[in-house]
Order: sequence, then structure tokens, then C-alpha cells
Amino acid sequence: MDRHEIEAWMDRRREPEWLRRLRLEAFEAYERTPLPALQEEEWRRTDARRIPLGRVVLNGFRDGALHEEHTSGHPAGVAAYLESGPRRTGAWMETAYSKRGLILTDMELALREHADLMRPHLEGSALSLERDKFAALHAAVWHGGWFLRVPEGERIEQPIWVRSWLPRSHRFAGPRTLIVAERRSRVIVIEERESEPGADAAFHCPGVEIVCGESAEVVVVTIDRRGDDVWDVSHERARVGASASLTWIVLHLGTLARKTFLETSLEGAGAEARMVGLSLLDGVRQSDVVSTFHHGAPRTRGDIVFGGVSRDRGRSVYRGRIVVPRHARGTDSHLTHRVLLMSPDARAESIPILEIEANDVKCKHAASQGAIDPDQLFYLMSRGLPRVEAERTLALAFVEDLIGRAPAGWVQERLRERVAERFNR
Amino acid sequence: MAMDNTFEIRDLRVSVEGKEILKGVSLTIRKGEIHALMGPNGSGKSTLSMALMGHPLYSVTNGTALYKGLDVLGLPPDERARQGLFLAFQYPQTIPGLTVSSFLRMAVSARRGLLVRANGDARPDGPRRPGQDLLPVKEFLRELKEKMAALKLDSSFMSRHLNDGFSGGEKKRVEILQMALLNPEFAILDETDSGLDIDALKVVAEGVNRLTGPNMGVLLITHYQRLLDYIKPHVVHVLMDGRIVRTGGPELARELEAQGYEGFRPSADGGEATHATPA
Ligand SMILES: Nc1ncnc2c1ncn2[C@@H]1O[C@H](COP(=O)(O)OP(=O)(O)O)[C@@H](O)[C@H]1O
Ligand SMILES: [Mg+2]
Repeated sequence: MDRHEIEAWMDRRREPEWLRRLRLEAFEAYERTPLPALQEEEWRRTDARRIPLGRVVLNGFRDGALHEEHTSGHPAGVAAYLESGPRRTGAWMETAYSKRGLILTDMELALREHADLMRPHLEGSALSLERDKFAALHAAVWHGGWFLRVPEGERIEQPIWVRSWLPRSHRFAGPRTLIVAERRSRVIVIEERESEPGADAAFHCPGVEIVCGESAEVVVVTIDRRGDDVWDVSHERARVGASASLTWIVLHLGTLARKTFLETSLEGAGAEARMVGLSLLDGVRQSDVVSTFHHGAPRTRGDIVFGGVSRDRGRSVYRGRIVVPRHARGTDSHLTHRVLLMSPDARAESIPILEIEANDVKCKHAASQGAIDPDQLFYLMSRGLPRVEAERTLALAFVEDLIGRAPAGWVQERLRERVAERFNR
Repeated sequence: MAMDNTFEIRDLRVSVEGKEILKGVSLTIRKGEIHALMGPNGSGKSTLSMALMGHPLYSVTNGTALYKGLDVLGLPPDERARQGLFLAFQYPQTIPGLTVSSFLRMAVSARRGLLVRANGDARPDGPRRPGQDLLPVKEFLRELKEKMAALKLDSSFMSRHLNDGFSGGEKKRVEILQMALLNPEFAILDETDSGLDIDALKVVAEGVNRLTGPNMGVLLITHYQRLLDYIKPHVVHVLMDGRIVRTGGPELARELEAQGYEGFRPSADGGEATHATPA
């Protein structure tokens, strides 16, 4: 892959000049940035040399298929629904919302029809190129993904559901997601990421950006159940404006190995963010997550609860970072990491990092890990539950504490269902 | 010969962490009988109940527990339960995140042979849809509500997490609720009376009396006489220091109440059971 190849690809995609410039800058950054070394603190547990960068191709999504809409069915109880992938297979929206300016569409289409709305966010992207080689790669070659815009003051009660999907033929993907919730808007969006496993390793390098305008109330739920053949390096970032509130729930059920950066910037005074994370690891799957809460304004509140269940030889590393600069007075931030290890070969590591420069700050962290409680296990078995059933029940009970923090109803049910599905494999 | 309608414990010795706690316990319970097991704190009553149910910490070094021609001591705890053995725990576990109703639905389904295949495997090899091998939800809820009402448990308990924030009395009632649903053939009730006020005690005793019939045998563990005012035992055993030192009729419980356990200590020489000697 070189500059000429990228230029030809952008020609085929008929991309606007401003986007071409962004991509080429990013590509330069990609070329001059070395792979992260094992000595670098954030990459100590993931050997970047094993990531199959050779999979990167500029295949992109089939242009011709973009407008084929099969608005066959949509799930009940949602305000809008999108099936996003190389071909667009389904999209639906309550008409009242589309009239008032709600947008939910795939990236390729959005670039053509809503470039003006997206441009400021893409140009001023918080997905910093300098972060690492993979962030630069994503910024250079991203394609696919989806765009959600909730207009100012629009309060949407029912959830918005997105299913993003990649077929077996796509061994590389770099989807970009952009969620813009304008001032005083309110939305719950749930995305399920899926991919069809293939014969050999796939490489995904997605980017997610969530923008919560002043006083917006936003819930973003990601259920990641991509195939167990995927190497994933993803950069996901949220910006939370003054008095806005974000609840960000990530459920990691798939992928072979992941390196995920989740960054939340509390940018306006009184901003609030909660993050709930859960990863289920089995087989030889591994997860390396870095979550950062950056308290960039006075009186912001943050609460992170990250949990994990590891079976077999599953291993996880979780790095929770809280940054409170001098001017962020009155910050209140909590970080909790809890892991259940279901086999003697499972491993988990927890690394809290608190960088606090301000006075007048409340900041706490707690971490725990342990095996299944033998007395609880005996109790369930004494009621007739076979050992595997009893263990699974206890693991689901452990997970329930996290699921209970999601919006009640449809979202919780979906999370429960997906978790149980993975456990029953 | 152990018959289908007897539960026969013979010369049971149990150690916990290398220390022998039960030093040869024998007793036989027939269906339809209630046996009270009394003894001071630390005499080994809970050790007996845990060993009979199969807690891995309690290692059986000698003896048998025959039931349906089977030595249950060789079975894993879940199989003992499915065979019809039940233990109401002295200290029931708390499990946050598990609702009472989903737990009970699994337990009932297991006991009725729905959750488990004939060979004891938990489930078929392939993926399994949630709920496919559970008792149908409507049928289960009807039964659950009826049994909860009988124990004066508010139906809001169904959606609460198991024993999480329950009072002592609520926990014990939920143990009896489980007994009612699982319909055991032999039940061990380990100090189900402790921590209950008099009203709760009556409710629990009524529950036990209702469930006990010709098809169930009960080992009622207590160290107070109080419970026996409401549940009439056929046989009373006194356990001291890991041995049954006396066995008698209901009058034995009154004797105990009058003079305490001191008089029942086995004599220093042979450890043989002795008669109470007046102080
Ligand atoms: N889980 C255990 N760990 C260590 N010691 C135990 C345990 N269970 C019972 N024991 C010991 O066994 C003895 C009998 O205890 P237990 O069976 O609980 O008596 P009871 O129920 O009659 O009060 C005591 O000395 C107690 O300390
Ligand atoms: Mg006891």
C-alpha cells in the first residue's frame, strides 16, 4: 500500500478534497510512526508485531450497493434501525424523527449527503494521529461504519439499534462511527458488531467518536460479538460537554485478541460520564483494554466499573486511567475493576493509574479478582444443579451486577441474552 | 438391607481439615418419621448435614449412607439432590445477581429431570437455547406463587436476589420454600428454628408439618426444645462430641431441657452412651 494506491482509491470513492487531505496527512503519520514497542507502558502486554498488518487492503465497500434498501423488517420497540456493512441491507426510521432531522445512515452515504454536518467533527477529530501507528492507519484508510446525528433538543425515548456486520471475505476492516448528540438532546443507541469468521486471521482497526453536546443525555451500548478470528485494535473516544451526561456500556464477547482504547473527555463544567465494561474471555482469547477518563473542567463526575469473566486460558489486562489536571476542581471520580476467574489457567491483571494535580478532588479506585466461591457453588449443587450449570449460573450472577447498570428493559434484556449465549457455547 | 423407604447412616466418620469431627454416627430414618437431632454447639450436627449433602470440605473417612440401595456418599451433591435428598442450611448462601425465581426454576427443573440428561450431563453438546430445558414458566410461576403464599412470603421475593438483604427469618423461610418445591424424600433441617421469632417459627413449623407425610423422612437438627413444641418428633437423638450418646422418644427432649447436656457426656472410659445421671 502506498500513497498512489490511496489516491486512486479516494478517486474511486469520489471523496471531497478536505477528506483527501486528512487521509494523506494520516498516511504520512502512519508511515513515519514505528510499531509500538513492548517497552511502551500501554503495549507491554500486547505484542504489536503479532498483529496481522499484512491484511490491510483498500477494498472498501461496494459503491453500487449503497442505495439498495431492503427495508424488510425492523425490530419492535426501536426508534430507528440500521444494518451497516459492505452492502446496506436494512434501514428504518420512525417518520416523525426523520422529518425533524434525526440522521442514522452508513458512512459512505453520509459523506455524500451530510458532509457539512460531519466535516467539523472529522477535521477536529479527537482520534489523535499521534496516539500510535494504528490510530494513524485508521485515520488514513477508514471506510464503512455509520453516522448518527440527534438534532438539538430532540429527545428520543426508544432505543436506536444498529447492527454492523462484516462478511467472511473482508479480512480487513476499518469502520468509523460518528455519533453526534446535539445540545439538550437525548438518545439511547445500541450497536451490535458482528463478523463472519473465516479460515485465517482477520484484522480490524475501527474508530468510534461520540460527541455529547451541552446538557445532552446519551447512552451508548456496544455489544461486540465479532468472530473469534479477529485481531482488533480500536480507538474509541467520547467528548462530553457542559452538564451533559454519558453512559457508555461496552460488552466484549468476541475477537481473538483486542487492544482497545476507550477515552472519555469531560470537557464542560458539570459533565458526567459512567462507563460500564464487561469482557468474557474463553479459549485462548485475550483482551487488553485501556480506559481513560480525562476530567478537563471543574465539577465533573466520572464512574467506571469494568468487569471480566475469564474461562479456559482467557486472559485480560485492564488499565484504568483517571487524569485530573490542576484546573479541574471539584472532580469526583471512581474506578472499579472486578474479575471472576473460572479456571486455574485464566489470568487477569488490573492496573489503575491516577494522575491527579488538582486539589479538592474525590477520587477512588478498587480492584478485586477471585475464583468462584466454593460455598456458593455447593449451595447451588445441593439444589440439583450440575457443576457446569452451577458455575455458569454464578458467572451470570456476577455479570448481572454490571448489566443492572444499563437502562432497564429492552437494553438489559439484550445484554443478558447475548451474555448467556456466549456462556452456553 | 436398606429399603427404598429408609435412609440408613452407618458408622459415619467425618473429618474437617484433618480433624475428626464425627466419630462413628449411625441412625436410620424411615419415610414418615421425624427424627430430632439435638446437641450442644460444636457437637458436629452441621458437620453431619454437610457430609450427608456432600460438601467437599467434609471428608468421609468411614461409613455409608444407604438410600434406594445406593451409598449416596459416593455421589456428587447435585445427584444426591436429584435423588431426593434435601438440606435446609443453617447458614444459607447469599448470591447477589441471581433472582429467587430463576434459581428456583433451575432447581425445580433439575429435580424433575428436565435440566439434566439421563447420563448426568448438564446439557447436550451443541449450543442450547436459554430456557429450553426448564419447566415452562407459567406452570412454574403458578406453583411458586402458591407455595410462597403458604409460607407467607410476599411475591416480591421472586424478583429479589437470593438471600441478598434478607432477614434471618426470611432466609429460613426461603429454605423451606425450596423444600416445598423440590419435594424431597429425605430432608435435613439444620437449625431452621434459629433466628426465627415466634410467629415465623409457627409458619415454618406449619410448613414442615404439611410437607411431612408418609413419603418423606426428616432429620430435624436443633439445639433448643422450642421447635419441638411445634413439630412432634418420633425419635430424638442426642449428639455429643461427634457421637450419638442417647436415642429415645419425645420425652428425651424434655429431659434434656430439664437438665441440660452435661449429664449426657459419654463416660471417660469407653465412649459408650450412658444414661443421664442426676446432678
Ligand atoms: N467448615 C469448617 N471449618 C473448620 N472447622 C469446622 C468446620 N465445620 C465444622 N467445624 C468444626 O467441627 C466441629 C463441629 O462443628 P459443627 O458441625 O458446626 O457443630 P454444630 O452444628 O453441632 O454446632 C467444631 O469444632 C467446628 O469448629
Ligand atoms: Mg450447626
